[in-house]
Amino acid sequence: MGNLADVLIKLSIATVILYFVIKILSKGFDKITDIIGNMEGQTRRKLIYIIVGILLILPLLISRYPYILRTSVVAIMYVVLALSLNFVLGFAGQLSMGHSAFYGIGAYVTALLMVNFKISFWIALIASAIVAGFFGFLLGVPTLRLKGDYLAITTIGFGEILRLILVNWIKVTRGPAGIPGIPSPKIFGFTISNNIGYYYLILLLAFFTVFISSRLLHSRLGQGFIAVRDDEIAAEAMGINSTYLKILAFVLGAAIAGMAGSFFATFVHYVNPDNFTYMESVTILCMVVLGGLGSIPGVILGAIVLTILPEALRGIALYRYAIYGLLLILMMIIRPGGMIDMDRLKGGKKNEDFGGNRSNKVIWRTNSSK
Amino acid sequence: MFLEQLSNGIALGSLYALTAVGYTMVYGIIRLINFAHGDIYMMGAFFAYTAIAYFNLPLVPSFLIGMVCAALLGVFIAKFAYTPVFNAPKINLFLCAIGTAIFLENFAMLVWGPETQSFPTMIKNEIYTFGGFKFTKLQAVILITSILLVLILSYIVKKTKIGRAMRCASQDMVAARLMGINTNKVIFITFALGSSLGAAAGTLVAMYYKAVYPMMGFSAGLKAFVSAVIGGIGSITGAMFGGLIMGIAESLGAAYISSGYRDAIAFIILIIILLFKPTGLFGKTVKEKV
Amino acid sequence: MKILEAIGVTKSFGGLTAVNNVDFHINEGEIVSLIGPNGAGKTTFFNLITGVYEPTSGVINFLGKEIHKLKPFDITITGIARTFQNIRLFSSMTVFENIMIGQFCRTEANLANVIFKTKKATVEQEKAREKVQRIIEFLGLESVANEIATSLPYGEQRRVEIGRALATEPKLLLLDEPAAGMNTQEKVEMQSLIRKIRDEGYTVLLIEHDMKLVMGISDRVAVLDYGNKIAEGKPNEVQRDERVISAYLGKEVG
Repeated sequence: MGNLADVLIKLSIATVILYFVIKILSKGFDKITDIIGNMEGQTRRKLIYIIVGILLILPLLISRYPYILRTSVVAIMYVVLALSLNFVLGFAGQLSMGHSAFYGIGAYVTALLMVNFKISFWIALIASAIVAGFFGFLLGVPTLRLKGDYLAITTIGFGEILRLILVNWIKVTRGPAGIPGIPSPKIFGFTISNNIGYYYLILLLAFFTVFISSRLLHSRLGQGFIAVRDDEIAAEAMGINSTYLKILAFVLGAAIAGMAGSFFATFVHYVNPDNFTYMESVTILCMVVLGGLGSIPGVILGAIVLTILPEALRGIALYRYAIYGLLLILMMIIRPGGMIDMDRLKGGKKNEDFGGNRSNKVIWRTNSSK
Repeated sequence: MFLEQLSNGIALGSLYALTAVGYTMVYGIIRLINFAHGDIYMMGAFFAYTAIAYFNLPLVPSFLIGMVCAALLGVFIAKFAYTPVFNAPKINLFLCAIGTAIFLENFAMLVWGPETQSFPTMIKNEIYTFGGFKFTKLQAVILITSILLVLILSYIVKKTKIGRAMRCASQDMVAARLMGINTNKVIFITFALGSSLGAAAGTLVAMYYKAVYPMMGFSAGLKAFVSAVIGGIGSITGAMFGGLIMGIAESLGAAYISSGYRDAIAFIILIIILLFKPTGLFGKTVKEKV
Repeated sequence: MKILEAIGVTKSFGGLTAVNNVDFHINEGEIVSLIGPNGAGKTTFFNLITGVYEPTSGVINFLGKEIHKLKPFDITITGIARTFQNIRLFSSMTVFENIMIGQFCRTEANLANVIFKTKKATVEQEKAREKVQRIIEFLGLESVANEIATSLPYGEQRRVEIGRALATEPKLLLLDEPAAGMNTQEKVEMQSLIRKIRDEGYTVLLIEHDMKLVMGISDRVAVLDYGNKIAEGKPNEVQRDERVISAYLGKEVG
């Protein structure tokens, strides 16, 4: 209590600094977005090759810094998780706040299969995706009836119930003690044992997810998702079965989150219920929204920044989560579209005379708000 | 045993109800799940705790100080974190609320420390029996205070001018503004009222469990929100019933089914009710006009 | 040939009967208008045809098939498309993408097709793009095709909405007050656009308040008042109908 003045002063200074940093970065993000948006297909492809090249040789460059290497693995894992939530939230516009449940299901399925039945990682990975996807289907069904806030609270409930089952179903999950001793994956007889191996494994999964996201977004199904997100009633009037698409989004997102969970289980060799709390879901949610709802490069960037930031702020350990909270608020005020705005990325010109009205983009409609 | 759990449940339920009313009021006005509400509840408890432990004030003034400070905090949050994003997509407002919640939790940790502080015993632990129905003095105080506060609130909402303005704004913000209602003022007053009720609930909980800690608002906030949804969010009566149902179900469930699943009971009730009545028990169905 | 037929259609909300025992039909290739004072039940009737509401009683047939129990998207698939009174474009999409959504129900690539970019998906996508391109040219929207649709002026947004409906390849096009809020010049343009659409072979059902527009282009006019159909016929017949005049002017039927 005695340090109240001290805390207030420090946090005020942090707020002011953050405000200006975001303002300045915001300009930079707009530039980047416009550059990517207006790029020719050819140049864009070249840029992607360069980025892929850098990602492939990165572990060799940083292998002398195990801490950085490990953080990169975690960051890429969050890229996969954030992109998986992006199917549900960014594409189909359904506010799901229990995403860590699917991540947890994947991790536990892999842990149980590999520890109890000595099943190979690859089969466990696929099993995790299928089981998580099935639970995604189960959770997707209530979305037939629930919207917005109600959906949010139901998904939170789903996540909490799942976590409590993990804690209490001791016979199978060993409760809060968790499951230790999950073996490393094997590939062609080689065991992936160091972080360089894990880096390539998760990178592969990330490429897979980005590939699916981007193919989907530019297809009829992806555009159907966006239509449902923007205006469900109009989408139905255009012959789109929104229920089907919403469930599809849930299943896809859940399956991929399940795969990330499967990776996580073998990466840390140990799972326990505390890894899959509500806060974890919120973190993933923040990555998606801060990065830019629906925008693939944005979500990737969001996941990387929000993984690295708390690590980078370790120097001011006590203050870092308070600053994290401030960052969220300021970002949403200064840059409502996220770091890389999906609409702007499209290179779609906005007719400024008529306002380019973004505020009518409704991520979910409330009953009777108008 | 049963009656004891029941009186536990009623005390707990009245606390959920008090917190849920705050949620419901804010939701009614700006259609926002105020995720920071649970943390305002926590801050309220800390304010009252500070008044008692550091300034040696008696209980009632400390309690009121907690409510007033929380009300100011609520207005401050509404002004600086929420109103700037009113015109952005709703998900942004939602994230601002989450950001505020994270901020408040960590702010409390910085100021009061992360460990649990014991809340001084202010009310002697006397047990009354009333025809086989056992309850403590504290439980009686909690129940009476909650009822009193909700009655005052209902009076404000139903009978006063500002209450009428609040009801107008909750039905149609734009129309209310066009009719000359200062909607910003209405929003701030709603936040002030909701937050002060939250703080009252927080302080009562701190007294009940004799503990205050920075994360205390998290699960209580979530459960109070569930109560509000069960009752039909936006309806004050609904929030009260929802809170009571939750409190009683939780106490009985923990005693007779399994204490490990105590926290899950709330969500199971929620999911069952929403599956059958998607707008909650007292909620109105409003179909979007095409 | 009757393309759409409603028989004894009633819709009540609680105690209020918004549409009362209405018989109504549309012939292929016609422009039919539905008029009536505010609150007469026109939009409700529209919503019944498009499946937003289910009738309390009565039958709606479209191309010989009962449609009144179908979901909105199924009705669109059977060949009825609509626009909305208060424009509902997809706000994060360009004009082209908005119209492209109309082709959603005429393409069928599934998840696997899409991810592996099979030939089927590519060919079908290409065909759809060509169709959309033709619609854009037909509506004269070439210059704004890549702009965000909701940033366009009102009149153009209306045309995008019509384009989006046309892209679903409907037999019957339902226009809900397409000229609302337009100036005289724009109304004339809208009138010729509707005629042009009919000449392309579409059947049109129109809700409109502007009498000049309705009388100018309709083959037939039906008048609703308090949920009842009070008159139906050629525009000049309806204009002289006593009950119609009283419904609009509030005169006693003498």
